[in-house]
Amino acid sequence: MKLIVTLVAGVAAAVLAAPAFAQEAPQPNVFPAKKVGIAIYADTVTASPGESIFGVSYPIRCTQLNLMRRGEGIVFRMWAVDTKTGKTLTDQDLKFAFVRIPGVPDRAMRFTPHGRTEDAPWFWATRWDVPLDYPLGIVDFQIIVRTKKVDGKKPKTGFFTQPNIFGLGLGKLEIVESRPNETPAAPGS
Amino acid sequence: MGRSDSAGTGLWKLACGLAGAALIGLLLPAFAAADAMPIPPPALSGVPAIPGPLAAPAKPASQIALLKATPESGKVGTKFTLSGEDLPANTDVEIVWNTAKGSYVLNPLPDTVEFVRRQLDPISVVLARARTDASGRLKVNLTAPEDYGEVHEIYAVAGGLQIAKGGFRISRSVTISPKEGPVGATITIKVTGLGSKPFESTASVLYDNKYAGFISATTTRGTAVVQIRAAGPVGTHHLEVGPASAAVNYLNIEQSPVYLVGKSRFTFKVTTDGGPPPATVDWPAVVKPTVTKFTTLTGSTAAGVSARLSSGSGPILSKVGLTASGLTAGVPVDIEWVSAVGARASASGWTLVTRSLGQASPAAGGTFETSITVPDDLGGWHAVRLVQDGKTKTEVPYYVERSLIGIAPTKVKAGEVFQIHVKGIGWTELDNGFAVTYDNGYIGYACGFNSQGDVTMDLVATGGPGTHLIDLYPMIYEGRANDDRWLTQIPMLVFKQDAPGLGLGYRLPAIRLAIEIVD
Repeated sequence: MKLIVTLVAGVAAAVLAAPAFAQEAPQPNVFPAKKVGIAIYADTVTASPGESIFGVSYPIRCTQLNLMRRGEGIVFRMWAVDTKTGKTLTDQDLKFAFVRIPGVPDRAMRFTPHGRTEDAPWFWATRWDVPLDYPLGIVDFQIIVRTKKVDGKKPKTGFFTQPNIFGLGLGKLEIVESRPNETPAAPGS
Repeated sequence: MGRSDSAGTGLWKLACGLAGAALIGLLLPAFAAADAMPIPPPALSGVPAIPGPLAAPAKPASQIALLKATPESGKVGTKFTLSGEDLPANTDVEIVWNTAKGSYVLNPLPDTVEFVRRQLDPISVVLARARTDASGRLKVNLTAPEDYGEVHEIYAVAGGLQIAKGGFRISRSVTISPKEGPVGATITIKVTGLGSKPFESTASVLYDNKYAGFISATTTRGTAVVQIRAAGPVGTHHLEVGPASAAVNYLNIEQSPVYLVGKSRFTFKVTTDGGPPPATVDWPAVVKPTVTKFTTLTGSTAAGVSARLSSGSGPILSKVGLTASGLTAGVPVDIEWVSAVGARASASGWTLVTRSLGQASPAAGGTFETSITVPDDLGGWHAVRLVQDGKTKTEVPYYVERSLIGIAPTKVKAGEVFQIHVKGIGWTELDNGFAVTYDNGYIGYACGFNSQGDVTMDLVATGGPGTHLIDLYPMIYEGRANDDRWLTQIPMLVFKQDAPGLGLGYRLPAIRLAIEIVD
């Protein structure tokens, strides 16, 4: 199944800190929008075999996939661009970038090269090993980034959310049960 | 000019000048080409309802807790407990279940009905209401509803915010009944938990490794009940209800990302062969169409004129009473039958035409009462039109049902030919043909458009001595969805419940026949 890729961005004044149940999550300025400050591409790919602490692996790393098994490692990848300047936003530009997953502490993304060659691509990424008891179903994750304050200019905040472009959540990240007879290792083993 | 299917534009053209004694005029439809639309499925007994009231839209809270379902998967009817903690204390919550609502998107036009695609829209319903305790814990006992299968997200919603998230997977369940019987015995297959998404939504039936047809539950919320017949010879036979991505069996789905769908295998013991069972026509229930856009109708009715048929449907050559009122007294009324001529197999396409069913003369009050004979013509919806002074005064829809003329000979030697003769086959993409199985193995399809509803089909008798079954199942001729791998021209075993045309009044039966091979 094809993985969703899209671009959702925005300039938001929402408060990102101090999460609370009574508080509505920041609502992204979903593309297409009149004003798009930061354009974000994001996707999910499989982690390398053996990487997940739960011992469940997809056989091939870096495979774009949206149906992930419990226990597998999911790598969230992200590229962000300042739409005004056209500049790709690196760790020199962003104050923070993180993935917000329901029921999971926010996971910071790092801007690093991926691959062993000199021309290995750089992008933002973080890995999440899906707990063995994480609820089944679609994971409506968000990616939230904010630029550094430079020359007294107001920082920009950008969001990524998964669109429902295929209906029924097709293409969104979805957690499914492990395969029958699969015996995941205990965490940390 | 005529409709050319190869043009594929969805537009249709007007006919001009068809010769022939029976073809006396043209149809000039008064309304433009319709748009494709989701057709609401009709109310059918045994089809589960949406499992709760629609939930109000909710937004994610900035912090979402997790809910644990125990167990977290099971068949329809499985009891499970949903629990969570660290939630706001003493708070009323709605337990919201994400699911879908299915329909078929069709394009009902005056000269055809186009099958466009299946459509499954996401909806959320309130499955239960609960309250957290003073410690912020939530515990709710639930029952997996009779609903589409596979994973459903569950949210605890308070004050319009999703404050906690869980999930439950409805697994597919298949039963067959009975497990043994004579050749020709009806085998009922019941499936629950067919999903709403591609690769999860369709099952296929194999009988001794022969493809018998597919089972869907697009409009029936994951539940389907179908019947096939026990084919011989006497002994044990193997029946598999397997996953189907595109309506045919996906044999190694275990190696796909949707590996959990699973397959069900059964054996059926054919106990005896008592000779060919009698031919039967296996009808769906009579249902009221949910959309009254019938082929050949223009919608033209003069003020004050009305007409009524004594019956709205029947096979060819039926005698039907016709009464009308509001006409001009003493002026002859032409009674016309509107139909189609042509074929999809030729580039020239087809046109709508009218033929005379006779004349009537309204009495002093502008009324008349007469009877008409339904022509030996295409099946499906036709307009009976009353024309006076060259103007259409009113129309009444009539549905021509399929009818079996016969099968002969029914006692043959292997290798000999027998013939099946059926009438009332239609011309739209929903009813222009049927798919054929021989001893529960799909062998092809037949079309009755070019032959004005007549299918005369020669088949070769194969197999060993004894009874052999031939079943003619409704099928979808073609579709237009690029994003839905769903095949056409194959047996739709679930024709009684999930046929796309039911909402438009297309009541299409399976015709069940048999022959005997003798030494």
